[in-house]
Order: sequence, then C-alpha cells, then structure tokens
Amino acid sequence: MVFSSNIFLFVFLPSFLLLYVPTPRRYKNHLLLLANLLFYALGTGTYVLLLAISVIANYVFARIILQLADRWKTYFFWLSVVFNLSFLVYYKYRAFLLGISDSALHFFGVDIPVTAPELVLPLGISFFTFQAISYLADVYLEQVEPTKSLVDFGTYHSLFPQLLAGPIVRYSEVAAQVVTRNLTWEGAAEGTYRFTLGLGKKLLIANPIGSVSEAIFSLPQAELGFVVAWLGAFSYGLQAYYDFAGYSDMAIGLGRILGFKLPENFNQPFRAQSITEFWRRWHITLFRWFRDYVFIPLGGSRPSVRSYFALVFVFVLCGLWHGPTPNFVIWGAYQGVLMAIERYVAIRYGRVQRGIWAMPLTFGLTVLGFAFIRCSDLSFGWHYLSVMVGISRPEVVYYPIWYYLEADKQFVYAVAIFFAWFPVERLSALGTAGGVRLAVKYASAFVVMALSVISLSASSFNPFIYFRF
Amino acid sequence: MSPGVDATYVAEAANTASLSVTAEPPGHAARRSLAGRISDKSISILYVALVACFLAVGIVQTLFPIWQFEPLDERREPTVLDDYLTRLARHDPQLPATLSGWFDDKFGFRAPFIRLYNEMEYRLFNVSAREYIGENDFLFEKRFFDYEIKNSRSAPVLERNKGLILTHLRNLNDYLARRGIKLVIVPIPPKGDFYREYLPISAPRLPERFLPYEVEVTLKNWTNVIYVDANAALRAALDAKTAQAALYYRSDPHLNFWGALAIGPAIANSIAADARIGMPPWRKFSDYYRWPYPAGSDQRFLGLFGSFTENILVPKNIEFPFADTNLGYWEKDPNFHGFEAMNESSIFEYVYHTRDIYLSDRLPPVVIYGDSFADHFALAGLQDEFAAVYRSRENNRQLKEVVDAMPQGIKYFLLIFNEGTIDRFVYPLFDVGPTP
Repeated sequence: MVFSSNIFLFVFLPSFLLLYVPTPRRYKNHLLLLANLLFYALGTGTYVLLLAISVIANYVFARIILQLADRWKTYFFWLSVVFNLSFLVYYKYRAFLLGISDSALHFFGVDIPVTAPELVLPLGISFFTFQAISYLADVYLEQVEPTKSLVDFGTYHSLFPQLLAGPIVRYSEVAAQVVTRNLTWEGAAEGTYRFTLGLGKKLLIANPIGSVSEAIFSLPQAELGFVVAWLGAFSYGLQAYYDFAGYSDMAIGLGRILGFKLPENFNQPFRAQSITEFWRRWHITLFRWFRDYVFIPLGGSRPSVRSYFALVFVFVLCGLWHGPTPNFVIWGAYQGVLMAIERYVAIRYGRVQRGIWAMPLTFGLTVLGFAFIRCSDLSFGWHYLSVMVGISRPEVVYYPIWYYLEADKQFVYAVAIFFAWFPVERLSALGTAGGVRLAVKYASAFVVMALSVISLSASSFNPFIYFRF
Repeated sequence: MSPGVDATYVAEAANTASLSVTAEPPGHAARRSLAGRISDKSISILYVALVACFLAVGIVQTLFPIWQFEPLDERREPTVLDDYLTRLARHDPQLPATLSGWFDDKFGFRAPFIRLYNEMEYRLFNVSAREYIGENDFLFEKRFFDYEIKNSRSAPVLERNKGLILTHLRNLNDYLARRGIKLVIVPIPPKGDFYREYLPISAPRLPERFLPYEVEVTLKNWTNVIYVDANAALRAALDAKTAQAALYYRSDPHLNFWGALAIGPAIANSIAADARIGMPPWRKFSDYYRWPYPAGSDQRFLGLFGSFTENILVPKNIEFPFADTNLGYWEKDPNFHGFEAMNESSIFEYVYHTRDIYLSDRLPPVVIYGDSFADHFALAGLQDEFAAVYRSRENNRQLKEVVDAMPQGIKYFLLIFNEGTIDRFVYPLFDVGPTP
C-alpha cells in the first residue's frame, strides 16, 4: 500500500488515527506496532514475518552486544551485521551475484548453468536493513543505549511512515519520542500540511513528468534524438526528485501527526553547486549513513590517497544499494569519481570553484548519471549517453517534441522547475501577520490535497471501446 | 514530555522570548504572543478538521452514497479482488495495485472527480489524457497512433504482420472461391490518417511504411478479389465538395453518413462491374436536418461533465432505426439496436430483403462481415443495391461461423473494416481451414 492511494487516504489512515488518538499513552506503541505490521502485511503478505524476525533478532542482538565486552562484542556485532545483510543479499542481490559468478566461470571456460528462482523483493528491505545496522552500530559504539522494550524497538524499527522508503532514522534521533510523545493540534496541522505537500509533489508533479520520462525511455534506440534524450533525462531527474522527496515529505508529515520528528531527507538538491553539495541535499539520511558507517571507518575523513578510494568505494556501494544492475554500479563509481575530483581540487586549491556555471554544470552532470540508471541495460545506457552528447542521431522520429510537452505538461514543468530551483525559504518571508500567513498556507495545502485526490481518481479512468476488448 | 522534546521547546521558547524582548515592550509582546498562539492553534484546529471532514465525506459517500452521480461509461468490469489471501501468501507483486484499483473503482466521488479533472484539462489546457483535440474540435484517440506506430516501426514486425494478414486473406479467398463466392475487401482509412490536417502538433506522425498501406499495395494487385479503394472515394468526395459535412464524426472515430455515401456507390459499382450488370441507381436524398448522434467513443474518452453530443446534418428520408420501406424490409435480431455492439446475437444481426418487384435489377445477395465501420452504409442506402444483405459483426462472431452459416445464393462476401486495426480484424481468419 502506498501513501498516495485512495485506500490509504480514506481507509487505512483515518481508521488508524481514530484508534490511535484516544488510545492511552502507555498503549500507543502497542497499537502503532500492530499498525506497522498490518500496513506491511497488506502490501507484502507473509513477508511481514521477515520484518517481525528482523525486529525480534535486532532487539536481541542489541541486548547481547550491550552485555558483551571487547573482542566478543566485536565478533557479535559483525555477526549481527552479516545476519541483517544476508536477507538483503538473498532477496536483492542473489540474481546479480549469480550472474557475475556465471560470467566469471564462463570466462574460465566453465559452463554451469545456474538459474535463480524469481523472488519478489520484500518492500523496504534496503531501508529497514540499513536502519537496523545503524541501531546495532550505535549500540556497539556505545553512542546509544538499547531500549529494554521490544514493543518500543519494534515501533522504531517498523514505523510505517518511513518503513518502505525512508528517511533512514538513527535511533538516537527518535529515542525519546519512541518512549513518549505528545499529540498536539499544531503538530497534527503541520504534519497534515507536510503530508499534503508530499502528496502534491508525487501526484501533481512527479507522476505527470514521470509519464514523459517513461515514454522517452521506452523509445527504440533508432528513434532517440538529441533534444528528446535531454528532455527524458531532465524529466527523469525531476521525477526522481519529486517522487522521492514527496514520499519523504509524506513520511515526515505522518510522523509529525503521530508525534515523531523524523529527519529531513531532501533540501532542494538541484540548487547544489557541486556534486559533493548535491549529496548533502539529496537523500540526506542515506548519504549520512554511508558517511558514518562506511566512509569514516574506512579512514575516508583523513586527507590521504586512501580517502579517494574510500569515496569511490562508498559510492559504488551506494549505487548497488539503489539497484543490483551494472548501470547502478557504474553510476555509483561515476558519482564517486566526480566527488573525488572535487575533493582533490578542494584540497589542492583551497575550495571548489563556484560561479554562475556551477549550478547548471552540477545539474548537467547529475542528469547524465540519472539518464544512465534509468536505461534498462548497459547497451541502452551507452547509446542514450551517446545521443545526449551528440554522437548518435535518430534514424526516424515519429513522436515530435510537442508530443511530450502538451500544454498541461508545460504547466507542470514550470511549477516543478520553480520549486526545484527557487529558494523556497524566501516564500516564508512573504505575507503579513503570522496568523494570516498560516491560514493562507493551510488553505493552499487543502487545495493541493483536493487536487491530488482528484488526480488520483482521474488516473483510474480507463475506458474501452467495446466490452470485450 | 521527553527530555529531547523539552530541550527543543525550551530552546525555541528562549529564542522567541529574546527576539520579543528586543523588538517590543515586554507587556505588549506577551499579549501579542498569546493572541498569536491562540490564533495559530485555532487555525490549526480548523485545518485539521477540514481535512478530517474531507476524508470522512469521501468514505461516507463510498459506503452510503448520499449523492447520486452519473457513472462514467467505461465499458469495463470493475477491478475484482479475488483470492486475496492466496495472492498475499505468494507475494503477488500486482496485489497492492489490484487492492488500490479495487477501492478506486468503488470510491464514492470517482465519477465526479474524474470528470472534474478531465474538465480542467480540457478547459484550461485544451488537452485530454486519451484524446488529441484537433482543429474544429475534431477528436482523435491517442491509443490509435501508438498502436499503429508499434505495429509498423520495426521492419521485421511489419513484414511478419503483413505476411500473416495476406496469408489469412488468401486462405479466406480460396475458401470462398471454392464455393463460387467472390471476396470484396473494403478497408476504411482511420480518421487519424484521413484527416491528418486536423491533428494538433502534439500528435505523432504515422510511419511512412504503414502496415495498412503495405497491405493495400499488395491487395490492389490481386486479380481474383475485388478491392475497393475507400480512401480514393473519400478523397474524391472531399475534392468535389459533394458532402454537406465532414466525412467522419468529430466526436467518434467512425465514418458518418457522408463518408458512407462517398464509399457506398464505389462498392456497388465495383461489384456491378464484376457481375457485368449495370449498377442500380443510388437512392436520392434531399431535405436535411441535424441529427444528434448519440454515441461517440472519442467524446466518451474525454469524460467531461456535459454531453458532447454531435449534431450531424443528414437527409430526412433516411430511415432510423432501420425501418421498412417500399424498397425492402429488415429481418432483425431482437437484440439489435443499431450502432452498438451486442454481447449476444445471432450470426446475422440483420438481413435486408429487397421487395420482389425490385429484385430484377438488383445486384446478387451479399454478406457484409465487418466491424462498426460497416454500420453507416445501411444509412447511406447500400442495401438497396442488392437483392439481399446479410450483416455479421466481427466482434460477435468468428468468421468461420459466418462462412459456414451463409445461405445459398450468396455471390459476394464483403469485408468492411477499419484499416487501422486490420491485423486485429484479420486474426479470426486463423480459424479458416481448407474446404473439407
């Protein structure tokens, strides 16, 4: 079940809140844990057992790590990390790894046909695995005290607002709120506002622009032209941003309604003037995870040659985390190399050169990367890039540029561009008295919610010519 | 309250207090701050209540419809949520979408919200998700273009489709020839191809090697079938300005009366030439009036609030719906309603019989097997040219059934169909095997 669906908005969420609000404080987490598991089960069925195992196992691991000392503590910590990663590897990377081993064996003249049975990926497994590792690592490093309550830990680990797509929350950020939190009208209103903002980003911006990128990336190679390829890459960049940032907004908003303050995940990333800055604004909690739990332990924070390798390695992992395909691995390496170059320039010359071209250049480099990961395979990825840089040309064009840019889409692009690049903090300076501003803000949000629900219904309109077809 | 939350609130409060102290006298600031807080809280309550009402009304309307809204005519079954637990257990990846679709179809405000969205798109941007809105409000279904491009864009796919179509037509022709029946092929150009000048700039270009064109070139060279060039007949009518209106509906993909009137005589003339007899005189029309055409799938796909019924100029002396005249009479299936496809029907949805006194100068009896593009020929009077017309609809009956059920005395078998879906139309010919 996704947040941007009528069944979530009109059935799941109101039903849950009707029970949650009047529930006494001491039972709120029990109810929330049940809701988390139900939310997960409705979408993934018996995979909810996997989530339950993850909750119980990591609760126990943390308690044991707390009890152990020195070498045994370290061994057990790594054992628990391997335990968590084993599920991720099994469900997400098995086919990829089998493919690599198959190719390697084939290279050495050994042909052993190995076929991996098709498995459906448990939703959100990448997120809750990383969240569990962060919890265990913080307990291991004694940065946080593990909770004694299984229900409290389960509430944190499976919190439905951020279970499927983040933000990846460190336990220390919500430890106090997990134990006790206040529900206030202001919190509910701010949470609703933030949720609505995310809903609008997803349904009114990401989906229409996504239909353009979908159409362009589905074109046969022979029909892909320079302008259309750039439009596709640009659209995919905007779609990815509004889709993911919208989801994060919805998660943060829902968290706020329930009394949690979840960390921010996006901060207008396309305004970044360098790739390094981009990754401080894009999927902030993931980048932070890699920085704290991989990059720094690898010695990346110290200025040495090793730090460059650490950077590239971290981003290759980051690419793999996003998807188990060669395109993602290369994309990760590309991001790592770009950041390594920036790091070298910063150390060698004092700072990264910024100027009028910094933002468009950063955006252009980012979009090239996005285009590559959106392509279905390596061959299409290289071809797509070759079209974008003008090396390849189309043999025939059936769909003109205006096919993708009908008047309604032009309007959506204008809105998307405005909110991606305009410094939104200036908007809060507009208006007069606080009360009026708040009223206008919430009234606008209500309009966005109504439009979002209307567009949600419209997306289900599917007429046929005849009954039988 | 937790220590973390306490700390945040304390910091925020301290920050606010320090700003207030420096900006205004203490008493005034305190009063304003209090008023502001009450006001903010009221606004928050109002906002949350408004959203809660919005959601509540939505679910109440879904469970106990208070307002009755005209449903959308989508011609599909609502999404069914069957085997939910089994599908959950085997992790069906489509299940969340099915669950969502199931609820969406039941959602109480679905119809007005869809219409409202479509109305906004249409009024504000002059676009629609499923239609191109062309010059003079001519509507063109978007799916048609994608379908044609998909079928024709790849040379191997094109060749394969062309080969299949021609093979099947050849099989049918052989089958009929052995029974002494001649095949007459009448492909009608699709509106999006014929009226290209009305298309908006956002519409895709149809391929140069377009499947129907490729088939057409070959069929024109077949000597043992009659190929009626409907496109040429329509162009001639357009050039001669004989039609009183456009040849296709604006709000529907079909030919209208005027389009059928342009092609009908060409059909009769081709058959008359083959039979080596003179073509019977075509019915004369006079005195026109505006007939509100009730169907229109293009307008249905727009899904607006208001009716998009198109008033088309037609002669007064055409018979609706299929009434007997002094020239002939109709034998109709009880379920036959004119232009709508039937779910259940007999093999021939109608048989038209010319009255005995006129039989001597009529062309031989024919079967018309076709899609909905064959409908309007009955309005234009094509049936008056023949001793009898047996009409069968391709989405009701497989061709093999029709061929086997043909009565004695049939001399011509007419295939009349939308050229744009020639592949779909011809696929039932798979069933036609060699004559026993």
